[in-house]
Amino acid sequence: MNISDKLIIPILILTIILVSVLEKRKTFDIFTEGVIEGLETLVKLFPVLLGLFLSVNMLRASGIINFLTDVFGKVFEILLIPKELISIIFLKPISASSSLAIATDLFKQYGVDSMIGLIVSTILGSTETTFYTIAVYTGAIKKKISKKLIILSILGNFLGIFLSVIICKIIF
Amino acid sequence: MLNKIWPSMIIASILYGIFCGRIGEVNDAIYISLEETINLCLNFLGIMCFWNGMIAILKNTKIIEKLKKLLRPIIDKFFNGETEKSKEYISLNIISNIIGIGNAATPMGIKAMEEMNKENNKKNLSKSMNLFVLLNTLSIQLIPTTVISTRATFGSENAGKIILPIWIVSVLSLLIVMFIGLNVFKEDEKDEYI
Repeated sequence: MNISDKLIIPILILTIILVSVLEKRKTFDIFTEGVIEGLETLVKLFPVLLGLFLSVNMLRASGIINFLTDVFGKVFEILLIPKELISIIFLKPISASSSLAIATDLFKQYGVDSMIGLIVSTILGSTETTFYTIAVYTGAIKKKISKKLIILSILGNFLGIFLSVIICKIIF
Repeated sequence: MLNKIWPSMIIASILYGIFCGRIGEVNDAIYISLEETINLCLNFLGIMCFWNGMIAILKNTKIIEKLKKLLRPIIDKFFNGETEKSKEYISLNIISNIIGIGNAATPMGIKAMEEMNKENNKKNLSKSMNLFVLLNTLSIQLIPTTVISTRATFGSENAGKIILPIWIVSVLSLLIVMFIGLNVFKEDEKDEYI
């Protein structure tokens, strides 16, 4: 597992570079242009992260997150979901950057390679900002949204969280 | 949405902090978080930019065209009856999502919705539109760059080892939810609307 673990990323990189070289593209030029785009993205992300790190840190320092964790903890434990994940579960469907701020907070508390850290990473990578997406995609056209769509999207979100917990516990 | 959430978070933490006698900690948190943001962004810089560069290379290869062909039967099945133009936007949206260029995925997705809407003269979303929005609420990213970058920043021994569980969870959720969607959404929807 350990070796194959470290193989995935290098093989992805190898594949991308090989295909590009075989197609005779200006691989390095394209790479550097992409890097500049990355810089621009980060510049745009910075103010959002700053604001959200602030609010998330303040929330935790005030004790509200602990309070909510205790209140909802029992329900989550019945569903086999560690109660530490409560804050990220509520924020992920709404905002990607808030959930990133929460995730880093959890990484600091429990360690990035702890079981909680691994589950949080999996949730972060395998679920989407459900409500935000629905708002953006249906906002452009003025049509009504059915309850079925809302229910199914919440189901998808919950399934992602539930499966993240199960799969991580099986794999790691 | 953050315009409501963010102020609420700040107000709630200050009020709760005062109420529970933890205002000192709340005060410290302000300065700590500013420092942390700078640290994280500095660390982020390298790895985020690297992945952006890799995705740029990927974007320029013929892999995109091949993906389009590969997706065709699936798109025909889920969005059958839609125009060629809609299907083109839908496939571009899906591919952008897969290779992780969110900046391109959303505009393509909105175009697809507008295009499908031209054929839809009802007050509510058509079956294909419902399915398309649902698909976009699910994650189909091939390389979860942000997660890997964040993990690396926080000193993970192996930041990329998360990729396998992410693939498994994403694919399972996608298959289950889209299968239900395909059977639950009806062309002539009588469900309640919001």
